[in-house]
Amino acid sequence: MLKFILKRVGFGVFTLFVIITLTFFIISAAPGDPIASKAELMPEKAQEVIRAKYGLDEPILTRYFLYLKNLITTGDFGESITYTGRTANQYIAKNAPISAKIGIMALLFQVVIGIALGMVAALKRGKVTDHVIRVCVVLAICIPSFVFAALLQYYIGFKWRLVPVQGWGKPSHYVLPVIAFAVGGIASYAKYMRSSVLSVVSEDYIVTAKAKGCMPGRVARKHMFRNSLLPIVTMTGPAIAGIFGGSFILEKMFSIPGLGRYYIKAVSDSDYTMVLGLTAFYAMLYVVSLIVVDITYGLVDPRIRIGKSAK
Amino acid sequence: MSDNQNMPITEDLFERVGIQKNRAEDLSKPALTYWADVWRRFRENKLAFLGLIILVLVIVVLYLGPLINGSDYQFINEIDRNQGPSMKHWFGTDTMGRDLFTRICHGGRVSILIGVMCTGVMFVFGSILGSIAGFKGGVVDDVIMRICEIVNNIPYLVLVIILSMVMGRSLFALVFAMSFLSWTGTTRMVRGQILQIKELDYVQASTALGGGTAHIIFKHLIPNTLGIIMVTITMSVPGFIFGEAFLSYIGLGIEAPATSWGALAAAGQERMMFYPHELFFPCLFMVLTILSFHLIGDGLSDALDPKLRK
Amino acid sequence: MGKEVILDVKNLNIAFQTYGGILRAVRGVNFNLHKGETLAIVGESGCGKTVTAKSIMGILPKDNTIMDAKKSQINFDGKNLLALNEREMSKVRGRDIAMIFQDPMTSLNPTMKVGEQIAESMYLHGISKKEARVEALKMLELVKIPNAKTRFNQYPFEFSGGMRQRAMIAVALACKPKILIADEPTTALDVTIQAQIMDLIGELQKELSMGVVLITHDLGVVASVADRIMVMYAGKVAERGNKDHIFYDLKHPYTYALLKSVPRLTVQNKEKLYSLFGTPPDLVTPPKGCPFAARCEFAMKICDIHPPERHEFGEMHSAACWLHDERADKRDLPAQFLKRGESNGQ
Repeated sequence: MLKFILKRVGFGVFTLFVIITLTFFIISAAPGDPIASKAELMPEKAQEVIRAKYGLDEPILTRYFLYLKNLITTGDFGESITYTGRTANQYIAKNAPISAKIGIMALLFQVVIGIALGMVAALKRGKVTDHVIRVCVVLAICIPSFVFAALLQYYIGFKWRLVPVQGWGKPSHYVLPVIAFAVGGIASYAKYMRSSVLSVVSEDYIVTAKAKGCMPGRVARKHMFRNSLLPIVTMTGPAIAGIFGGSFILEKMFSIPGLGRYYIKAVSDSDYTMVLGLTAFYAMLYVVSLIVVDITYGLVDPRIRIGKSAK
Repeated sequence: MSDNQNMPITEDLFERVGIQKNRAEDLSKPALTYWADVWRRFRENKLAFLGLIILVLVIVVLYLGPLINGSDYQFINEIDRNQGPSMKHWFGTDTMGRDLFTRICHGGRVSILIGVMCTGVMFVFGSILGSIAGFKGGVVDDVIMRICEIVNNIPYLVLVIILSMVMGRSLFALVFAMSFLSWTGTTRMVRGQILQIKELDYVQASTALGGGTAHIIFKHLIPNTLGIIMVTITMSVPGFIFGEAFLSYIGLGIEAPATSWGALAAAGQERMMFYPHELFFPCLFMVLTILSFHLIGDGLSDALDPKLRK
Repeated sequence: MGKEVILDVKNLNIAFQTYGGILRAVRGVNFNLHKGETLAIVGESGCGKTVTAKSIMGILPKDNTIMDAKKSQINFDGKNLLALNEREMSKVRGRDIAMIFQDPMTSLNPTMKVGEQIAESMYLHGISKKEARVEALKMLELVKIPNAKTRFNQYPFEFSGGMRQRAMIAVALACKPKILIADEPTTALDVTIQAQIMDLIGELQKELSMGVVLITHDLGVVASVADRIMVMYAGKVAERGNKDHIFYDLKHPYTYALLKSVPRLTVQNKEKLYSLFGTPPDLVTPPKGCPFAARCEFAMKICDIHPPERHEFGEMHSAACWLHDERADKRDLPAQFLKRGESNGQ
């Protein structure tokens, strides 16, 4: 097991390295030289500082290693060139927690509600409940999150005035965003949980459990649930990616001062260094969450935990 | 024969007849060829068939609509700004007085085109890579699989954003950006199919009888994989349509004067409170199209599932 | 036989609602089981033997199974099992009647420790969890699994095929049931392991005075283990009798074909292997007469029209075949078919 963890972490670090490298070189390929052009507008002293820090006169590889050095040794993700003085780290510190709050709440909703709905749909297969759930799932998957968010804003926020349409600061501001964030994920989890349970239901060991005298409730709890859950755990990784992606648009729509909103702002401002810095941060979060999910899966599935060296 | 049940039992009935070959084998159901059976099951799935109809209708509207309507999607008319649906403008107008219906038709062509092109690139690239991995095996296979793993660990949307930021907003740039990292699923799938087929008895037999690689590909691999390929393609197109819409919302989608459903929706979003129709209609078309692809894909995968064969 | 009857099945009729229509899987089956005896149910795939077994356990799928508890009876311990509700039936399962299945790999929960699965059999029926674990360990030793203490905490994938089947037996016999139903218990195992498992079942049967219903298509296993045999075809009982009756004194053409199909070492070099032509009939529209008629080399006209009557041949030996009617054409029949005193010819 330990070997598994080490391998996974090592691989994660390598991947992170690849992502950051890829991003750096892509951004450096941007038309014009943004750093240089911005730098020219500044006073001499500032220009010298910038040149030294970013190694502007140096070839690209040197700049690359300089960036990496800064990143690893000082944890400096980079500075904005559009708004001098602001660093990526500042934004991360201030705004990431907000995104995280919504993201985690949404994830919890997705997992708990999605899995519950999926299990119910599978157990009541073919009946009305199942059909209703399946229809809702299909709709939720096919309606993009921003369309759904717009609908929520329009009807619940605007027409019926139940909760604020946008903004941040009060508990009521959480309602619409979390729903909008969670909907797609709930549908995905429900859909996959349903398939998973249905395939477990037809397994032989379920028949054995019944043959031992288990009542249906116990069969569902003790035998079906855990075995259906296993394949779903691996879905959590991509689900987190979905929440990142969602954050880009939804934070803008709901005017939530989260990291995603500033990321998009940096993109539209062509603030390349900021984009680079925030991308590095996101990459880190993403890779770490994938590692955590894989390790959790390894812990939960005895076949991996104990290793396949049977007998 | 049922009336004979009431026949009295007479001596002559005890005459021997022996084995009756024509009735000894169970040929109760007419044997359908594989594809005929798949098509039959697909047709019977009402939802899937509905999806197909919706898709066909949408495409017909997209291409024929403007011809019937006659409006120009770029024609700016300051007087008719932000009007609701009417006889003159079926879906109303946008902030520059342009006919929304026509814009949706043109935008739809772009959206679907992007979806199909990205899927095409993803599929071709993924298949080639997967085939190489599957056929060559060994080190080549390992390397390709490692690359797939790494790519899978990259946050897709983030990279797409960066690529479009740098490459601009042309059709080519968008398709490139979205296809760049999308091929791992296809690669794995094709490779898996090839490995499976290599192991199959009849392929080994075929090889033993002299069938070469090309023969294996065309006679065995493609017919067997076609089903899954169709499902994958059908389920990928809506993802790319959504991707382009996503990019439009953050300002990186297709550039004016071209438009797409995503761009229209994003523009409509700004005025949602006052002129909801500008958001509603593009979204409706987008959702309908995504829904139809989804239903078709689901129906196809059910129709192809051997466990559900009746 | 003089021993008490512990299971009595009367007029069992089971049908399934399928897309193609109503499939009549079991049609009018009767049999009983005595204490301590092994009854083998033999037949081709699809003849209804597994469905019969599952109906005793009450584990047929509820939504598409069609059974009438008033017309059919499965009598055990003074009750008709078909008339019990789910709660009552779950008390019987595992405790009084247990079942083991064909594939031990897929029949055990992959994410639950083996010892726990054995213990579960017991604490479902009233024993405390603590005590159940102690007893479960003993069961592991009883089925001759070495290093029982370590194995108790292991998962099924850590066991070999033969050990898994032993573990399944431990699960089934944990509550010392009165009847064990074994559905093709050795089909998925190597030949050498097969013998071990059958021996184990035999030993435990003696120890617990259990009745065993053995479902199999392997006549070799039947020959060494069964006391009585029931041959099924297309949902009906073709012939039933004890071991000697079926192997030496057989009276049904299907039994005859089955025995002939077993390849023997004494066959002359160039003799073709006997194979029974054709496939079992479609049970959605079953044939009106004898289901075996189309494939039977001795079939007569009447066989297609009327279902055969059951003829008795002495103690607990009977077969349903028109050939035993006095009016039948008895030319060229196998010697065993004829009653003592008759000769081969009119």
